[in-house]
Amino acid sequence: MRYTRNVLFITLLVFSFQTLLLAKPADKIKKHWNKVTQKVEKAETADEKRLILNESFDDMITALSQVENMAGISKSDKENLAILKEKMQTHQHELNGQNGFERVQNGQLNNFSNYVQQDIEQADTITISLTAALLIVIIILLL
Amino acid sequence: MTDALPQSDLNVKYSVIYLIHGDADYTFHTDNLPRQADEEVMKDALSFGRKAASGEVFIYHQKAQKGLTKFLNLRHRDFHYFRQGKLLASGKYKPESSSDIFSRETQIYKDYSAVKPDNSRRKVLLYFGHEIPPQDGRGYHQSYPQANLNYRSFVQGMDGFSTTAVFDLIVLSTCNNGTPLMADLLKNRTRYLLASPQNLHLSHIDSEPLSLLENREKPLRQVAEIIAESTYRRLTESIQTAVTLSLYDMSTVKHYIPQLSAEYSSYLHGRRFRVGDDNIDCASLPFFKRTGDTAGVQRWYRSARFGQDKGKSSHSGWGCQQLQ
Repeated sequence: MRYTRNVLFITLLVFSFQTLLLAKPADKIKKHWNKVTQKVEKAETADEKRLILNESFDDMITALSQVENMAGISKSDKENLAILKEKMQTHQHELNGQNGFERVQNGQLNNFSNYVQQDIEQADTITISLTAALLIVIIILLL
Repeated sequence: MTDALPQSDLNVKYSVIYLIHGDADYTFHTDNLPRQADEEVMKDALSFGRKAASGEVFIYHQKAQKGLTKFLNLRHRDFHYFRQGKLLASGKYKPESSSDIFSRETQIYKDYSAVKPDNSRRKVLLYFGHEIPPQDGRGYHQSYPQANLNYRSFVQGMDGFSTTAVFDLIVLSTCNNGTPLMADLLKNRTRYLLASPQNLHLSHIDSEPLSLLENREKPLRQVAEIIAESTYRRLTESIQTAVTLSLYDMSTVKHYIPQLSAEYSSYLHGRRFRVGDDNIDCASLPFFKRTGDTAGVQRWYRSARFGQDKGKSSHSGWGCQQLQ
């Protein structure tokens, strides 16, 4: 009886681990940015929308930089994190009218947030490991 | 589930194959609701299968292997076979090996298809998934990371579906596969290719207009144009990123694509590029001759509402890799 219980417990543990390993890492990043988009849409003024977007970009870029520099992160993850970070930086430059971009107009901020979301979702670049994705989201939540 | 099937059915006028990749991340949001791209395409494919009164429809859903199915290496992918609107066979399958591309899918096709390999019946293949990489495609299938799905292995795997007859239309509902290299590989395998030269939204290319295949008088080119137009209209209504679709007429493209493809390969040789970056318009590259290299390419293009290419008014219809 004890033997059967132990086997069952270990089997369930293995399944849980396998499920975690097969969880889709990019989902975490996409869901996080969808929450940002929802906050932007709900915000009542352009200033609030800009603040939310700028803070979200700052948090994402900080998290990506921190994870990129962590020991134990694979070379492939580092490359993909660098691409994602560059994307976020470019989007933030456009939001604020920097680096040759025209500043996003106040009336276009909801659309711009959707644009960033769609850009993240359709890009095949978010092929990062679950570990890296989890670290990014954890760091963002702690900031 | 399998009913006894006649091997040949003269009432079957066309054959449609849906290859739906789901073994990766396909989450996207519409109206802030999460959706799974492969599940959405499955609904459309099953709906089409039930309505295809004069055709046969194969639907393959390449799902992830997880949990108990992974632990015990059980069958986990789904197939459905419709003939003249009736579901005649369905079941689960798994790849023949961890490096297999389409062997099981083509075997199922040969077991059930009523369409003899000749040119009298129309054949359409639609692939829905992430960008098929030009070279290193390991990791494309999350459950089978050793399987190397790249341009060559994709085309070789697909060859199993068409023994002597070419396809009438191949639709690649993926990012960045409307490229000179892909067109060169497919030039003798299909009459028309519909693909996106750059990123494509995960809501994919519409397949509902395939119902026009019921009308044998409708030219296949028009069916392909309506698919592209329908997709373009839907995406431009809601998407802020760029929308680029190209319909390649291989009867014209095949005359210049070997040279264009060779020039492109030569341009890439020895240069570094970033895997995973969106393609750029080949027209911006020095080897591209705008007038000569766009013959036979019908384009649907709207630039992104934001970003560096905001306001760009035209596109060559060809996508090329972005260099570092």
